[in-house]
Amino acid sequence: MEASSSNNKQPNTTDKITRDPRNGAFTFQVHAEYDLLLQIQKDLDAKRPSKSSRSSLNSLALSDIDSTKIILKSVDDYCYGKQWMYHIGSEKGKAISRFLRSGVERWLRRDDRKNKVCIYISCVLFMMMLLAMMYANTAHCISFT
Amino acid sequence: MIQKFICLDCGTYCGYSSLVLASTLREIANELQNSIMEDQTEETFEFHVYTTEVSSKLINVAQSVFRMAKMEQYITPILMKSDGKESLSATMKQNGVMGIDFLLFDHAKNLYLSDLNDLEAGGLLKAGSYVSADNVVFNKLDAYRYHMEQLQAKGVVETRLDEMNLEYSKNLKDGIEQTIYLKDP
Repeated sequence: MEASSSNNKQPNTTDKITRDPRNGAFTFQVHAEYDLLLQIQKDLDAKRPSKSSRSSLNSLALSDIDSTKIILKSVDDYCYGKQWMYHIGSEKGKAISRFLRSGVERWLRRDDRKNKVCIYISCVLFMMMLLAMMYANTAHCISFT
Repeated sequence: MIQKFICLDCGTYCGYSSLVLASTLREIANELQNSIMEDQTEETFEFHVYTTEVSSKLINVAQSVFRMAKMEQYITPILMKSDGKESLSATMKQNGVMGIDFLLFDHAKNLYLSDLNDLEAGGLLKAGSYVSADNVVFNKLDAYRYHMEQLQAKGVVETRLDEMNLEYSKNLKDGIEQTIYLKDP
């Protein structure tokens, strides 16, 4: 499918659908992915601190988390305002993120993980006791010679 | 040795879902790091996201997106063969993955159940694994949902459907099947 004239339209900045109905669900545009990349780059550039305000230590550079938030918003705006695409989108993204978070919390509490930590600590303590005993034996031998 | 939390995102497309996973995990890592600094916990948290895709063009697009997001060190894209005959579990093992803690299905809809069975048989899904499967309502993936319901009846998993709209639409119903493995399958 050829890119329609509505592809010149700017993406919106809300979650309202403002795209041309011809670019709705399950329509696909040739090279839409590359058009999206350009839009992402434009949105990232707009959010980066200007050269005049940037410190020499680059401390004002965007973090990975900040960059990612800008990119996800940019993709959402593109898909609501310009061309439907099948990314999971913000609503499902939030649901998956919440589910992942609960998975990590459970993973951090896992018994086998805690057991592995206990085994590791036990091994370290055992090695320390062994070294202490060897040192005591050496000291004992030295005291007799 | 520090254990890593491993995610597998099936269906890279432009990398959106991998970024959702990686940014959530980065936020958790930051929160834990701050807790360590306040002496509240001794936890450290490391993770990695693997993502599979059959289109080399889309892998290139996604890699550009990961670079722009500064997340490329946390995400490894894997190019799969498009015939669907390649074993997902074998591919993951070739990439050094021996267990999956979080799995997201958003690839070819006819592969959800067969890939799940393959990952189960390969020992990559185990007690504690979380699985999200997108588009189960819109694409009517009843066989996948039935399989999860059967596992739930046997006490192997807990599963639920999160209903919401299809992405970037207002009137098209869709849902994500959210499943937790309580036992090794």
